[in-house]
Amino acid sequence: MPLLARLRSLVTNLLASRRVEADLDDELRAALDQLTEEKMAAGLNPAAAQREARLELGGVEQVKEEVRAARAGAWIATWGQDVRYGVRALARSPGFAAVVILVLGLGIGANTAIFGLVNSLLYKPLPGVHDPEGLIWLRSSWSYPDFLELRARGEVFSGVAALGGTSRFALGTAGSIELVSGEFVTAGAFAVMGADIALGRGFVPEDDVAAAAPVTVLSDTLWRRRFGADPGVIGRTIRVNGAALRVAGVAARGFLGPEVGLPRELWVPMALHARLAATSDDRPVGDALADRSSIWLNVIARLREGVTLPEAQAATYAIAGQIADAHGDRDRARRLEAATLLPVIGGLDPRDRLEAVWVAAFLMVLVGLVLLVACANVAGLLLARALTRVKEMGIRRALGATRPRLVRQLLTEGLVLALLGGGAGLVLAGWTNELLVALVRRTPIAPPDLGLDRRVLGFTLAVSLLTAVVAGLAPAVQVSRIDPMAALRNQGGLGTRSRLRRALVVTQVGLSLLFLIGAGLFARSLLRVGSVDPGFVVENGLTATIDPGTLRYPLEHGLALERRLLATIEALPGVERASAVRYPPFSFASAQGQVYPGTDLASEDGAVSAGLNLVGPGYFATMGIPVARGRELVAEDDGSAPRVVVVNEALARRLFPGGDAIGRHVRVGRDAPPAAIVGVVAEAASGTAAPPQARAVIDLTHERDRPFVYRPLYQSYQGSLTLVVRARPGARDVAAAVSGAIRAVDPDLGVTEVKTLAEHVDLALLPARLCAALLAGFGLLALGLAAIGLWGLMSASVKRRTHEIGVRVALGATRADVLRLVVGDGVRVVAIGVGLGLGLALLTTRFLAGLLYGVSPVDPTTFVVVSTLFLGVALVATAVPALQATRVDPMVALRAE
Amino acid sequence: MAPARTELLHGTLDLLVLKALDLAPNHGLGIARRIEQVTQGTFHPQPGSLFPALHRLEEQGWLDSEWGESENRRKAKYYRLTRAGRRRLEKEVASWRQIAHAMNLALGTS
Repeated sequence: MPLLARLRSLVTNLLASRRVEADLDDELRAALDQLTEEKMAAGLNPAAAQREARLELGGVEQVKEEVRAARAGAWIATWGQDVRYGVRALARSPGFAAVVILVLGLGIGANTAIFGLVNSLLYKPLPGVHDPEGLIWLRSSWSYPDFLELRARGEVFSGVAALGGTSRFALGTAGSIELVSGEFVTAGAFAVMGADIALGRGFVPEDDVAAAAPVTVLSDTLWRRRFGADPGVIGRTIRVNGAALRVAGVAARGFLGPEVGLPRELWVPMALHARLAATSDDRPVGDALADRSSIWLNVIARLREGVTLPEAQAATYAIAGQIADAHGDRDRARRLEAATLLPVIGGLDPRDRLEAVWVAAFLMVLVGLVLLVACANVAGLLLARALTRVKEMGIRRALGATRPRLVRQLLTEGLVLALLGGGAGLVLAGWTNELLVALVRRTPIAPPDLGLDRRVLGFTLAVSLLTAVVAGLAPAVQVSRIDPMAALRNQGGLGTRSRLRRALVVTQVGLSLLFLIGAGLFARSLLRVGSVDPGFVVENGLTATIDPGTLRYPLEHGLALERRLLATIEALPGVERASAVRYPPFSFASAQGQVYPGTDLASEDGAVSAGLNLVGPGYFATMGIPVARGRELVAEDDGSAPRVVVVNEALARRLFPGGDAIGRHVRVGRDAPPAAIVGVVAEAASGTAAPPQARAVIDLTHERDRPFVYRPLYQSYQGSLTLVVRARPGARDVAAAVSGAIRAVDPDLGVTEVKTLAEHVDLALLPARLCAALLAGFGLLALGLAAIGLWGLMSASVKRRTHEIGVRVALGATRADVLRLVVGDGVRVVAIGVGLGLGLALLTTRFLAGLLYGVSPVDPTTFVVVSTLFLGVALVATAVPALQATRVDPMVALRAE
Repeated sequence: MAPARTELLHGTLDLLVLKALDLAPNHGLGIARRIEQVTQGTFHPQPGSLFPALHRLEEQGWLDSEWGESENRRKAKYYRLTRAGRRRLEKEVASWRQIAHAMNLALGTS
């Protein structure tokens, strides 16, 4: 059977190639001998006969090449040969190979590291969640009664669950209280989210009724930390917010809720809300589950198999419409908006995704530039190496290798290098990721999962292959153009190749400069952010977060506790002042609302969107925020006093552009009771609205200038609050004293770790600093690559022109003349490259405008400093070979010919 | 006078090789000689295409090869038709005759 025969030949050709080759060799030698004998028989002398025979056969080696090309699997066999040959060739010049692998490794590694980050941010499913496809968010505008109707009618979903958002729970008993983050969820929530329960069970419908025996589910982290990973914890009773809950289950390892960066460690059934939720004024308690106007739930759902997203969306809109119809058509628009289905892709909140995609695209373009520079660099190196192999290539051509074969051979060498470079890149990216995770671990942000997955490996492989083609093709084609005869006669024909090398160096210089300018703009912008005066005094500031709401004290009791706490702390010897605030600066939490001027409840005129905060007496003095006009909030601004607020200057300007804000009335919320403005304070950073993932860098910079309104803490009871303490300069152990004082006032009160204000600011600036470090690193990398490329070009040029320089020196050229000659040559290349880079930068940096803070996209300082730095480095890279050139001895140079 | 050497039609070399081996096994040079002889010098296969063709036909299972001794007592690689090769030859000959007949008709040769 022909097919079998072919397969057999394929196997023989590939596995027994040596025997097949020997056989072919014998066959052709026999034919040549026979021809020779025939010619001799015809009367020619032996030498003539042999020549005639060779001519007739047309070159034994060429015939062999033709036969090899006709063989089954010829492609694989010769490719294997190319690989072996390539590896051998590289092993012969390990220095060259090491440099190329390092350069490619840096370029590919940078790309792999950033792609790994992007991948984990955009595509990695939530940890601990299986089957993330079909998971859908309906965000944050659902009341519990509305949710029940959606669940009853949602046939397009295989499951629907409501989540209450993270809240703090006090775990344990007096003296051992730990504040943990947890969430109220409806029955079946774990199944909907795709989270496994490792021990025990999740919440069943019987748990989720008001009269049920109260149960809880722990996260794996909490189970290990607090209960020593004891499987016997199931069925045990623990205290949460003072109530006794039986542990029903432990969630599978890795699962910390459906929002990256906002881990939950404890879950309780929704029906326990009235019995368990921390009390406070701004969170619905008690009848929250019965109140249709109380909108506080996130809904998560899973598509039923076979239902498409548009079908589900249509059905959900219809349900929202019916709910609106049934309840007097109020809030129809809000209900429809809440019914918008947001498919979960990766772990990020779909609302943050678009922004994250932009940041990711920007980062990828940046590292792509670094890789391009690396490619141009390697192309230059490959070309330089190819020039030293002109003779080798000429011989191979003469021996019958076709041009495509040579191109393939050279591309294969490039491929071997690129794959090794890719391997080096993976190692480098692994180190970078470890460093990044180690840095993030020092913060409360959950570190991203940067482990390699198939997508990252595929990306690295694809980038390596692309690199092999981009860096290898031009040199390969150039070299294959070599005329075999000229090559053997030792004439390379160097003109065009030198031009190509110059073009490559110009490209490197241009792209590196473009990158450095981009990085420079960013670094300057980030430096501005870093040196932004937060508007408050950082030194000797301490914070500690407590949550009296978890104790479920009645309002009066809670307010009294807060007064007692502040008084006790202020009395501590090391403490100068103390106050409290709802959203401390740079805490990644804040509230936002509309502020309406005037007392007329019906009027919506002149509303300004502002950040909201609640602050205790003496907050501004404690923080060191100057009061511009009017007065600070005081202890007497309580529930029995007239309602008052303090605004910052930004809000005062916006609300009352013409006149003084003091004494004017505003409403914080349209239907809220009017409050008199008693003070105007300077702008200062306050609670940050951004989630800790993508927006932190950008939002931070706009934080200070935001309009803000401060309400007195004692006019609205807050469950959770942060104590701010200004220690006396030089006072020691204030943190321990503050913790002790809190425990002394109420042993049932849990307290977070006491932190300094400096730590808060550092944390807030961490993303900016990381980003600046990253950019600076990449910028230096690009600059280094361009310098190496330039230096290589100049050295090669000096080497090539040794003879010419020798002649010039012999004819009386001075060292200065030679120096000028070589440096001038280099400067021309750099000047073209710098011109190119500056032009590109002027054209493109405007797209960065939205990401820059306080720096113009065509900031002259950055452009000048970066260009000067670049020219300086370029001059050094040129000067070294130039100095070599001045040492050319004319006699030696001329004798070399 | 020897007739002008003609370029081999694409694909006909395989058929000529198979035909040349129809009567008896032969080595590479012998096959070339035989083709030249039976076509009265019209075709003169170049080694550069003959040897690749031989190897290709062998890989397809139509030829077999073994080392033997040539007429002047030299070692040579002999090719012979396999059964599959013989069937292939019959098929090729039939289809060639058809083409030749059709071409003759089309060109109006007497």
